[in-house]
Amino acid sequence: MTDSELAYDIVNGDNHGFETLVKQFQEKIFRTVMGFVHNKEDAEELTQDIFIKAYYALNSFKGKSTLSTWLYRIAVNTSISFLRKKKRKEFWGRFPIPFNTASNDKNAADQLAEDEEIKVVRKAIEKLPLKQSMAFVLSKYEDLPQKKVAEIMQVTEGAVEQLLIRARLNLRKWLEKNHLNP
Amino acid sequence: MNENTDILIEEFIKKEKSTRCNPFLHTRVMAAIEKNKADVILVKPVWRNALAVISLIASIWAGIAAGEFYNLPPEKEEIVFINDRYPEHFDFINDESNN
Repeated sequence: MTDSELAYDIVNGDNHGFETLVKQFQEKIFRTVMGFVHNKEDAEELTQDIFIKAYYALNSFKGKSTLSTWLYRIAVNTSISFLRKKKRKEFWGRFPIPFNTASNDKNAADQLAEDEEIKVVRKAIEKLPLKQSMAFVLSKYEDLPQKKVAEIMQVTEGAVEQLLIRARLNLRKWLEKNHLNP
Repeated sequence: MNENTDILIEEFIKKEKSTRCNPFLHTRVMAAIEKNKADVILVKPVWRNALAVISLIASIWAGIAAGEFYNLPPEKEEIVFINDRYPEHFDFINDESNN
């Protein structure tokens, strides 16, 4: 059965087909999302949202790419939009809200418990420019070949290679500046 | 120096990749989809009923409005003034055109 046929069947009510699709891809999509959000609870929540989005958008799947490429694209876009919202929230969170100290206390406790090294590497990955971050996550977390990454990002393979080199250099630079040379 | 940072990055990625998602995530996804469908089905009859009631009220109102449209305004009563102190105007009464 081709991807288009599977999508057609699901749109026409084959829920069992969709469940099989979710089972097949849930770990992969979860890992990709983890690469962006670095938090299990958020990643699970987002993975669920991604599959629900995919279910309702399947009628727009034209079969120009494979179903996996299409799903990865939804995953990357959803993760990026989640990070943008989170950044906006964090920005407004800087201003003190009267009578609301519980969440700040929890964050502080979490941060203290977190391993310093992990925190620094996470920060370095979060600091990467968007395209470099996309290429890095898809390539390193999912071990996808450059061709597949290029398909998902809709760029050339050469561009992906350049993005990966620059990402690696930026990570090294940031880590040396902030961690290895205190 | 580069080796150290590379090892640090690789270790971090390895650790994050080892995190597994809930194995029953697919059941959560399917339950959410089913719930969405049920919500849509539940909402439909409410809308249908509301639409039926609104159209019924609208048709009753239209009927009343149409009925009132054909009601003629009440005619003014004509009062014939009769003065008993004077003899009646037979000419006026006999005139057929006044009947």
